[in-house]
Amino acid sequence: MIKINFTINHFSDALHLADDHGLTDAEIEAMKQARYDKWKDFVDNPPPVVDEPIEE
Amino acid sequence: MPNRFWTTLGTTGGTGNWSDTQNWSTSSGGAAGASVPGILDSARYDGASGTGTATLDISPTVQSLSFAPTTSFAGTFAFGTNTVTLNSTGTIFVGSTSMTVTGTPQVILTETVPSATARTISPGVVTEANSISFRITGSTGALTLGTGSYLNLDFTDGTNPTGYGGALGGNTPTVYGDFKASTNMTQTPVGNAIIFSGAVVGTRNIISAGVIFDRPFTFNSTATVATDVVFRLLDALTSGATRTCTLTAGTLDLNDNFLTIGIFSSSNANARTLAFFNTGAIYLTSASATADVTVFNTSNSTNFTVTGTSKQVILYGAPTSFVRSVLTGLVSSGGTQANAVNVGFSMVQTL
Repeated sequence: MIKINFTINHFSDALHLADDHGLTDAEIEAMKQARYDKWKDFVDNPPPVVDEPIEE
Repeated sequence: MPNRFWTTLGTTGGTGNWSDTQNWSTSSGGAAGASVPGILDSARYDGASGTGTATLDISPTVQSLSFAPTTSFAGTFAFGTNTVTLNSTGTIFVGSTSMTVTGTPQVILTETVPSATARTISPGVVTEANSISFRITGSTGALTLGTGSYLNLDFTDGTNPTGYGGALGGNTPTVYGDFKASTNMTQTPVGNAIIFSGAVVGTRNIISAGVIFDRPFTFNSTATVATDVVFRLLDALTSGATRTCTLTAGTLDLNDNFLTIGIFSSSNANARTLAFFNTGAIYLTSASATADVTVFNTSNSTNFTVTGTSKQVILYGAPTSFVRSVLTGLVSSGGTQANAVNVGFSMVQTL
């Protein structure tokens, strides 16, 4: 696995890709942005929390 | 599916190899000589399987594996370097709290024909030394991790960051090793924590792969020198505003990553280290609309150390008229200038 650290607007994260991922630089940049966008949307628009019932 | 029971009535007396028909019966405590369990069979070890050593001399694929179908196995299961692959659905693994595990124990969950049918793992609450690693790959059905002990949990296919594509459910797994999410899985919101623990000195790596793990997290080293157990984030870990991250003991190494959660709590006298490095930060999103809330609590900072250069704790979240408190350690309870954190506020929802 290849680890790629990145920071977008102070948000620090990392991608873990297969050694032979075959992705272009543009595709990797898009993945970084998608990570940030997903996180940003979650903290700005948290979904209503309905915990699943616990079954053991 | 046919059952195959490990038996003591063969020539081996119950100490032998998986691949030997002298160890298998069609019934619990029955006569030996049944075929070795294969892809259509359920392999079972129970109280009638003796207290010998069952050696995994091959890497078989079976429907399911149970060490406590009705009564519990009390012998030793020696994995060596082999693995057991389980290709069915439903409750496909049941552990025994009476057995001993040796080798490099790994059970792989996959399906010959991937389905959306749910699967459950019930390892039981066993010791760190007897815990087993699970790799879950393929399929899109819900997965329930029963409350109990796990060594490594790997949701990838072992090569790529993708793998298991379903929704991970609840209960309270205790993970003694590494945790590696797949990029295509999800976490069903749940109030039960994932507990990262362990007494074996070393680093536990945690990859959340961009999955929102909307549940609490607890980090609790039980090593003699607690901070010699390091829980290291290898990417950002994100949970929800109603969840708490508790650092009970040990080293939580953000490793330059963001930890996003509602509340961070580490207020006790255990040895603890919170390592930020250069760009790591804790992003706290709890903002109750009904009561005051302490979002960061290290009020008892005895034996608590903060390292790194960023030391950023950022308060964020929905506007509320209630108070969000940050309780750092007083000098009288272990607080020092070196261990102080930088607290920032970002009430405007941009970053």
